[in-house]
Amino acid sequence: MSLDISAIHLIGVLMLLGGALATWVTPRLEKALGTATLLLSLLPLAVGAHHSGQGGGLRQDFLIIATITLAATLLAMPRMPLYKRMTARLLLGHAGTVLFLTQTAPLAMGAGWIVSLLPVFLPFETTLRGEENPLPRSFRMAQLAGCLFLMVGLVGQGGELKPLPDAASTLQVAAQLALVLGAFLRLGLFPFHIFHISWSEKGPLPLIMSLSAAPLGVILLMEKAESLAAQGASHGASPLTWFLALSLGIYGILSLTQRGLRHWTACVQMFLWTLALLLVIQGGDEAPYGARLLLCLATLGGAGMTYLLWVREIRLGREDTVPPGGLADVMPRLSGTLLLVGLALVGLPFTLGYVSEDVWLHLSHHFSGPMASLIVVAYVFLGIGFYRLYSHWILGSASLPPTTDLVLREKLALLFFLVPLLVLGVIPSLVFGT
Amino acid sequence: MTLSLSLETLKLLAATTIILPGLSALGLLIVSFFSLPWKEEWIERLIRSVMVVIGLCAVALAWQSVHAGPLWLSFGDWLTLSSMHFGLSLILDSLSIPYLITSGFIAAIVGYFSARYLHRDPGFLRFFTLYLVFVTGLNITILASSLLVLVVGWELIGLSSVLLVGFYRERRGPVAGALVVFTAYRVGDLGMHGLTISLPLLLGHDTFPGAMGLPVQSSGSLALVCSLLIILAAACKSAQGPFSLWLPRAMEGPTPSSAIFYGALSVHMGAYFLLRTSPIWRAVDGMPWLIAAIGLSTTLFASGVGRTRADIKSMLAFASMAQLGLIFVEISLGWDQLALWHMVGHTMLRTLQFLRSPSAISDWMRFGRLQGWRAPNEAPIESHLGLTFERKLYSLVFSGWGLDKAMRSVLVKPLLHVSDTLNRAGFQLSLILDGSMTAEQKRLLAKSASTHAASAVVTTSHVSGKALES
Repeated sequence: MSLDISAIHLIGVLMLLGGALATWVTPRLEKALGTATLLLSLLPLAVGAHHSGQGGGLRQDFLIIATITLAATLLAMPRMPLYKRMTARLLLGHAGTVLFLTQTAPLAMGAGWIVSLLPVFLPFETTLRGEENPLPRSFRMAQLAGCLFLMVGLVGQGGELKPLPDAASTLQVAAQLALVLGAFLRLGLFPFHIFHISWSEKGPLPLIMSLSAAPLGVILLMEKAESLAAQGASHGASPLTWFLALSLGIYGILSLTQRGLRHWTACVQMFLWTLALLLVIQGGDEAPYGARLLLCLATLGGAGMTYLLWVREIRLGREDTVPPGGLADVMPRLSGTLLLVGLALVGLPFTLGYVSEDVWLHLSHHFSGPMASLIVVAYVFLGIGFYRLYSHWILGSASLPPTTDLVLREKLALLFFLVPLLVLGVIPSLVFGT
Repeated sequence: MTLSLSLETLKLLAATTIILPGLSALGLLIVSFFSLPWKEEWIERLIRSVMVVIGLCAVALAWQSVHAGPLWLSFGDWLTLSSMHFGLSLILDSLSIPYLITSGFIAAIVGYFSARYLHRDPGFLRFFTLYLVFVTGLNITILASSLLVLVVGWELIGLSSVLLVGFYRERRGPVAGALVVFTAYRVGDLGMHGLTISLPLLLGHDTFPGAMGLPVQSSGSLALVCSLLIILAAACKSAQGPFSLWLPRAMEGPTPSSAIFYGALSVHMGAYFLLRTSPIWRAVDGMPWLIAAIGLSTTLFASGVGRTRADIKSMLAFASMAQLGLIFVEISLGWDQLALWHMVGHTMLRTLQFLRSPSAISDWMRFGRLQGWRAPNEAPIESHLGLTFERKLYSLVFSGWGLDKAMRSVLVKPLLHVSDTLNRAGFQLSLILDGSMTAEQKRLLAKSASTHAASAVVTTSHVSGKALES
């Protein structure tokens, strides 16, 4: 019996959309409905993944991580979330993500891209700051522009994602450029990093978590980078690779004086995504493995970090703009886990961070000496930036009111991120490797 | 009678010295994370058991190593990516075995001491978790035969050290000290990361040449780069040359951690790394001279500054730094055995001094005065230099020969300024794009110039200011 895999995946997407609608209209039941929707949608997705037989691609990795993140978020969602109808938003965003990741038709991918961004544009009723929409206007405009570029790129390419032929027309080149611009705007990579940083500062943390767990722009860019590498861009340092390397340097420098851990997480994610791209363009035959490791680290670690900051925000009931310090005294377990996840993102041994660090360092001999030095220095700055923020925000004298540390529900949700980070750090060959 | 152990048994013993403390640390982490019940006696027993088992394993490995010569233990591939193989291997030789036994002995003593020293301390569980992480890292570093394995231990040592410097996290001094230590270690990581890239290019693999008796055949610019990176990593870890000023700041931690990390074991890892990689840097002309110059200058620098310090732990820190400088000189001269035994002897002495330091002051206060003990009130050399010169010299030495100030003005401040400027520019641009500015944003914008830079440098300036005040 032959199965139409795309149709099976679409069933899952429709379930998620239905669940989003149901939770939107009945907010009282949002937790139960959200959990039920997620569990039901897993069935067609699992069947589809089983029959697709692709096994272990980047899209599948992202699909798993996005599902894990959503499950963890729903598990840990408090009864009184900071934003109303958050479950509906999360389900809607996840439906878009699943659509993008499971469909190969460019227009379906485009639709997934747009649906995954809808939660950002849906009206917010109440926020902690009492604003109509907490997201900066510039960020929303950038995302709209990104969607526009993506659609222009898809239409310009005749609705088909393919590498540029040798004798490409101006229109084809422009379409490729539009796709790349769309992806850069979506991810907020340099020179659009200010959008990413301001989004990470002001955005609702569950949404940030959900979107950063499946950075759709990365998929597009990785596919483009692979075609660039196949076309021979990997020989010698090109302006493109130098641009990426310099942007890595800028992320490293920026991370040194960030105002908060939210901003730092944005910096480290941008760094890891860009490094993965650079590896694929210039890193030799093993580069896709290294890139996959880096992207899994960025998504798992980034989502874990955002989750912890979200729990902190829920518990303290405020968003601080100056470092309060003293969190380690009132929430020692959360602080310890934050340290673990943060350091994992910059290469802590026995975590996925160390594996990916070791692999990309070994692959860096494909870069020129100055380029490799620049990347390593930027990476070192990321670590210093993290510990500096940790010292200011988490350690120090207690000026915070006594509050509950991580509760069991939150601990279990955290295990969704911690276990893969740790297990894959010790036995990476379980998932990665040949 | 010669007891011969099979290769598999040796592998098991060597792995036990690493896995046992590692699993114990993981167990304590789980206890802490899930808020499971624990008692001090249980942890004390656990530490004792772990250290006894490690000691027995180390003795058995030493026994076999003495009779069978250097042994290379391969544990297969950890990860294989297409044509890239990441292998795990350990080495038992005349360098690793003496230091494994010494470190096991010292760690056991400090563990025993700490259980009493930290009795009923709220951070008891945290201390011993970090202690076990440290022991794991230390054993990995000592037994590593390749860079891949060594870096794991190196990072664990660094992390546990930093967290123990900031053990009293509610106080500002230890937190600031820990940040300075972290930064120094991270600068040292530049060397390690650079080596991870360049060593396989130089050797074709990342196994230390001395570990397998392999000669370094290649010289030239790549060998020079590798040598400089080795020296950078070693100097940062052992507080040598311009990277030395973190060591006195590390004394903010509890006394047992000062003893085990900065007096005894952790600080010697740089020298150990130099010994382990000696075939690489010795193949490059001028490198031994560079190491000797770094060691000698640090000895002179630390001896001077140590004499101006009034607190016992700072004096011991500078004394350790000076001795490590001498060890660097010995290594540069090729006196590897002397350097190794100097390290072992120095480790023992400093552990004793650090563990004794709190009670030594108390004893002096209680009994010394009764018996007419006096601190020397005349400096034999300086007193012949004239009062003006003596004062100027004292002032210069007291300020750490201006090294701290120079590092801040040449390196730290410009870097933070660039970072701050870039961040401010992005912040202002996002405000312009958003079109409207809330009162909070205006306040932030107005303050951003000072706040960013001030919050970034507050740590270093606070510590250096504190050092000057003292």
